[in-house]
Amino acid sequence: MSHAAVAEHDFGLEPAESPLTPESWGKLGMWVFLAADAMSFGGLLAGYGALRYGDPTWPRPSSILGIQLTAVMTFLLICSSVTMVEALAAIRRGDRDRLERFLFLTILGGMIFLGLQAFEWNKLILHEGQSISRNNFGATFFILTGFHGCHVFGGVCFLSAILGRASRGVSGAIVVAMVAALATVGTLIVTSATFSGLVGIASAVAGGGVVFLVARLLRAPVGAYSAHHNTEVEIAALYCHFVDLIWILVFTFVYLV
Amino acid sequence: MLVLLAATKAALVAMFYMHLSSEKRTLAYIALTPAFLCVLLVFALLPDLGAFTRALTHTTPPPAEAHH
Repeated sequence: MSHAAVAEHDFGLEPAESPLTPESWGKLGMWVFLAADAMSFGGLLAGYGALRYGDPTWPRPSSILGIQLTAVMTFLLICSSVTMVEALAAIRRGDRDRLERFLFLTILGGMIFLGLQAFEWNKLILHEGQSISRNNFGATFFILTGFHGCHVFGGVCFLSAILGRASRGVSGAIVVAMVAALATVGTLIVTSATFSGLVGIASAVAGGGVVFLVARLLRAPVGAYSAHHNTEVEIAALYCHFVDLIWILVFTFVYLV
Repeated sequence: MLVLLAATKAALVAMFYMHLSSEKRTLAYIALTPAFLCVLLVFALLPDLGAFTRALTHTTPPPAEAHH
């Protein structure tokens, strides 16, 4: 007789109610968090729409913003979603090497995205004279893209923690997440200092390489994830796809429409 | 058209990449709640569109037509 059955028999307890996500309460928690976060973005986008369509002097986004660079950034983020799908599929097959490889590519995609965003902000602030306090266009643009950039930065740290944990448990998670955070901040500083998107990409690649190497150095014989235990990877994937989904909406409303 | 394409892409990401199509339906309701609330928010903001922006930008409203 199982422990649960013994408990029910002895104490007359009701069996636990089946959760919405039977395999993990954490997954349900992530969905509730994402719903709340979606409301934050929804409020910002609704405020953006209210300000924009009530102002006849609002500039055309394409006359100020670099659509081509942002299209590349969008493509990069969509690709990082695909690599995350591959990472989850790999660990569900029990393939830890491919999990690490695709997690690394996803992290690298996020870092390059942030590097290019720093380059775009530099161009807008220093060459176009835009700022968060200049007008409503600047205020809504920098708040929306900045809020999304913070989410990408959080995603880079989250996925790095998963990569570290895949290699060597909790200590690996902490070390690799800290290295990733430092490498991303370094990428942003280097991009800001040189005003070059290419340098941003190069430093993001270097930073991603450092993260991957640290994860590899921490590698232990037994990783934290397997074909039967991979819920945390799935939860991280949910967050990653959400950031991608939100960017598609931000890109459309702020840059294209 | 662009908004429709973006909404379709976002829905596809939620349904297939985030596995919403294969999860329990209640989870889809949780995910759809913010979308529903945002639509309500947009309608709630509609009456304020012109006045709110003019107040923030300090621009004067167009002069009313003179009565003859």
